[in-house]
Amino acid sequence: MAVKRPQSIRIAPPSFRLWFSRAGLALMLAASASLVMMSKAENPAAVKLRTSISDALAPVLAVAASPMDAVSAAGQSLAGMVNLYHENIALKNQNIELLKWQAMAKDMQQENESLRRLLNVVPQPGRSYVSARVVADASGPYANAVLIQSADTLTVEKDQAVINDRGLVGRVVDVGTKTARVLLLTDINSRVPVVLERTREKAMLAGSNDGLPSLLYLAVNTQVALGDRLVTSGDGGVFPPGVPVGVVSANDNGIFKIEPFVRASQLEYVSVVTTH
Amino acid sequence: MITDRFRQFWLLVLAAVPGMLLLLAIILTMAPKHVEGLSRFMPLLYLPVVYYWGMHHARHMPYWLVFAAGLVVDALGAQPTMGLHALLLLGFLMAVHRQHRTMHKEGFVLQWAMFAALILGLACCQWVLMMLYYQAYVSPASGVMQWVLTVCLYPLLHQLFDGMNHVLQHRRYLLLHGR
Repeated sequence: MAVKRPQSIRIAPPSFRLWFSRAGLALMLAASASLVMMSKAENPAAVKLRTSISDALAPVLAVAASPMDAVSAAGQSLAGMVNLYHENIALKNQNIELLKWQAMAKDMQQENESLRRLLNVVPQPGRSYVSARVVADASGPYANAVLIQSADTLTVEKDQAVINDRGLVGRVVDVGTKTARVLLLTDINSRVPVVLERTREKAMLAGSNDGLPSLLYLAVNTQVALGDRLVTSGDGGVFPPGVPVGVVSANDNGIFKIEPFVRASQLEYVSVVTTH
Repeated sequence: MITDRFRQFWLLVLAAVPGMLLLLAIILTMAPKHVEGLSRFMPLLYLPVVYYWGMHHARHMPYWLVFAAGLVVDALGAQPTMGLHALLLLGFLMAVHRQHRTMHKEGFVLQWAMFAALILGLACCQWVLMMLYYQAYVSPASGVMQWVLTVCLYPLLHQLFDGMNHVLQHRRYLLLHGR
């Protein structure tokens, strides 16, 4: 037996609907174009809209990130089990090497402290951190950034440095109530003042979106060798000094390419340096 | 006995499926991948959703939904611009609607070719807009790779959406005819 179709919304005449649809489309196109221009001018309303949307979707993103994290962890533990024997030998050798370095570091620490006392050096303030979880890897062909979620975003501010156990990740560019956007070292807009650990020469690390940032503004006749380590110089006050950044991996017609210690694909948890 | 209210509720749920699918595709595109370099080439899963449902069921993929989806992509994405994806997705859906009359009864291969052509246009627009925004040359290599992967993934998603569409139509028919 056929049942009477449900009475739905009364349908407007076609001409009115067409006009309404076209006007709505024009309005949405105009709103989109306005938002692009407002973003370019760094208008607070555009930033607020952006952070509000990411805050609202943060719980959904956190749930979506969980299976990906679980798959990654399972893959790592499987690879670990396969290479258990070789990894054990390598770790034993590394342990012997690290014990030597530990003894040397303790000697140097004591020497450093006594020299500081002799020179009356003002001690640098300690760092404090806020831990956060990476909930979205928003990188694409033209930009590199991640979205982080933390229980304590009140102390997180724009331009604070973000690090993990391997080294520098990037800096905070937008802050919401639950989430913050972190611009990675590899982004085309990223600039990090660095110093070559071996020669103490200063330079600027500039992202290029291809995963290998370049070293800019090197002084003339600076000796740079492949494998040289870079750390943050602390110039400008955004990044704390001495954070490992990467190693010189290639010389592309006089432009040195840097391989960062931190890989975006390995990011799960990070720390925001709130004071340094 | 199915009441009218129950029937209307389920009809609404069925109508919301493409929108939910679009949100899911955006979240999957943005989720952390843990594979080195994949983020730069990650196929844009939401484009096949907009194309398929915009082509076959324009009523279920309205402009306001695509505009909202564009804003979500902008908010979660790495690019510093709000509104860029909203603008691009609206343009993309307009192009899909223009092709709708001639394309929706064509075979799969032609629809796939049209999808490839439309998202190539979209990728080119995005590349030019990003260069204008940064006021610098940006290599299109990763964008080309992303385009190739999105095009290659389309047949699989098309099959999946066809299956879903079939089930949705069947459920809708049953609800409308009181079963």
